[in-house]
Amino acid sequence: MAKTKRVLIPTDFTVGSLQIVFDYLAQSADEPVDVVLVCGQSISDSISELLGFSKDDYLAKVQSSDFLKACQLLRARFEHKLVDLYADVIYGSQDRYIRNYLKGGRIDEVVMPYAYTFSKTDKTQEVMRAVYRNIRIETQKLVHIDTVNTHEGELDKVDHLFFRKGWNVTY
Amino acid sequence: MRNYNKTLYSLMAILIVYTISFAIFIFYSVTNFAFSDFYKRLDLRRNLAAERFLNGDQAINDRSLNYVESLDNQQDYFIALDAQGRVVKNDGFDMNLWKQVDQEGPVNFKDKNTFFSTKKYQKEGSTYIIGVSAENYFYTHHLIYLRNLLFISLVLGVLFVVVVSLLVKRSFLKPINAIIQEVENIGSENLHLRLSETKDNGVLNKLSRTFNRMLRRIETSFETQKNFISNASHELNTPLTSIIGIADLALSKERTIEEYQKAMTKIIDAAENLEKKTSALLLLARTGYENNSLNFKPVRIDQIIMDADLTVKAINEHFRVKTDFTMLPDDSIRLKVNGSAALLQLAITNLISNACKYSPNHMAYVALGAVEGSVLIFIKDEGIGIPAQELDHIYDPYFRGSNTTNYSGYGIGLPLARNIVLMHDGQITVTSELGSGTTVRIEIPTLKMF
Repeated sequence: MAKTKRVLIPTDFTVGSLQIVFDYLAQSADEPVDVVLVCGQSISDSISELLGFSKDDYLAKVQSSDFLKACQLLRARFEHKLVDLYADVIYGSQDRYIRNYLKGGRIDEVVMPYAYTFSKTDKTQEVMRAVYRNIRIETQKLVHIDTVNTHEGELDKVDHLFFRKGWNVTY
Repeated sequence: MRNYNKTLYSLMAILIVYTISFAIFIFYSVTNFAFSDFYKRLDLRRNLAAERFLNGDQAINDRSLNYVESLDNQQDYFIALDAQGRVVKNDGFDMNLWKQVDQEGPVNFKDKNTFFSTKKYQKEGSTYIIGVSAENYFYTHHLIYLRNLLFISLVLGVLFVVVVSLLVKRSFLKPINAIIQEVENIGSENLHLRLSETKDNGVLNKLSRTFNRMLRRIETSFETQKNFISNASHELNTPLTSIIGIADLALSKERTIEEYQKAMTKIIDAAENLEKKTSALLLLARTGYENNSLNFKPVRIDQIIMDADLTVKAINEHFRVKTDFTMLPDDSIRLKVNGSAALLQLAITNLISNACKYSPNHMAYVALGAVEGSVLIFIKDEGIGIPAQELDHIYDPYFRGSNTTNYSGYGIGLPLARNIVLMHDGQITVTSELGSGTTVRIEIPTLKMF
């Protein structure tokens, strides 16, 4: 069995940003992949706040039920190659930290959606710039995806994964 | 209800009879014990008296008496009889009671509150009757107290049984009466009303739930028929009017053969169109006869959407549908739901027709995808939308949005679609923005394979 490729894809936990995942999976080869959805998040300096902070709680808070439903849609759509799809948080943009994250997380590919603007937090943007700086060409591959924002300014709903601009009518 | 009362009263009677017999049994047992115990004590004292009278062994007697307490009003009797059985000597015994004493062997009897124990003794050819009498303190005081106690507790017990039974009866009947009240309010004109349900798994709640399910089936049947009539009245009229118009025009004056042939061709086209519409409408109306959740079978949702698409286009040739199947799951088993294909097709056809009808471009967008344990269907349009304050009423039968006056319709399609989705344990959500369009989201649980 082929080795499962681990791919890092940035997200801001909107259904719209999952479009990047869809576009990536639609164009990638038929080999098993693990998709890690990462977002940048700055954490407090206060020790008491850090004590009460947990990544699971944070992820449970930021992932809406529509976002989770959209993830399930993607899982069902790409069942043959999508082995796992999970979310992670990157807390800083220091080069050393990012290098260690990519190495420790055994990331094989990094997806860079240049045309996409992340909402909610600009930390993701900053983290992705740091990832770009620190990527090791010999071990990690950079993939460009030209996903653009659609449904801007609307409520974030599952149906944003459908009826995209230039979508393909299959029937 | 009468039967229910009868059962309750007989239960109450059984409980009361049981309580009374229980009290009587206790009283009888205690009395019996008090008598036999007291007679035993009297027998002991009679034996001691006989020892003293017959053997004159005062010392033994005195010693024994130190250990045997003297009873209330205890009296010893000594009666000497001659050979013929006549009383020779009587030591204070009431001769009115003689009949009870004059027997062989030991005798125990009672006169009013005084208990007696007597026995015939033989010594040196002479016959004696020796007896002891005493008052039974337990009998005179404690038993009366026990009797009163039992009587009062019996009365209180019966009262308690009656009150509790009536309260229980009332609390049992209260939810049933509430259900009766609610059912009485439901008629053919307000079939959308439902009995109130709670989350518990009680029998009455199950009854309400079953009743509601039955109401939903009945309502769906009614609505299917109304839907057919409403569709037929709209859709069949147009080709009929055009047939009549063309024929009228052709007959209005003398025409050439070519003109007649042209008119006949147009009439045939219109008639064919009419036939297509009629068969599509009849296809949707047949669901009224197989409307039962017991007949649910595994069906594929993508197939249903494609069929609905064809039906919509057959009913109205101006309607256009764009289907987005890009998110179809790899595994088609995820699209299988347990349901009635005809009903689901009716629901989706109605929603797509609505989407086309209320859009200036007559275009509906349909999408399908699978999530964990359910199928998601989206039906979207870029039409007139629904005013936000009216979104709460869209499922009410015959309700039509305030901005739909220029569009024909009866307000049946959406409530019908919702009922069908609910029959499949699904959920339907409508989001809309006035002027920019409406999205209907349907989620139906998929078939459980394991």
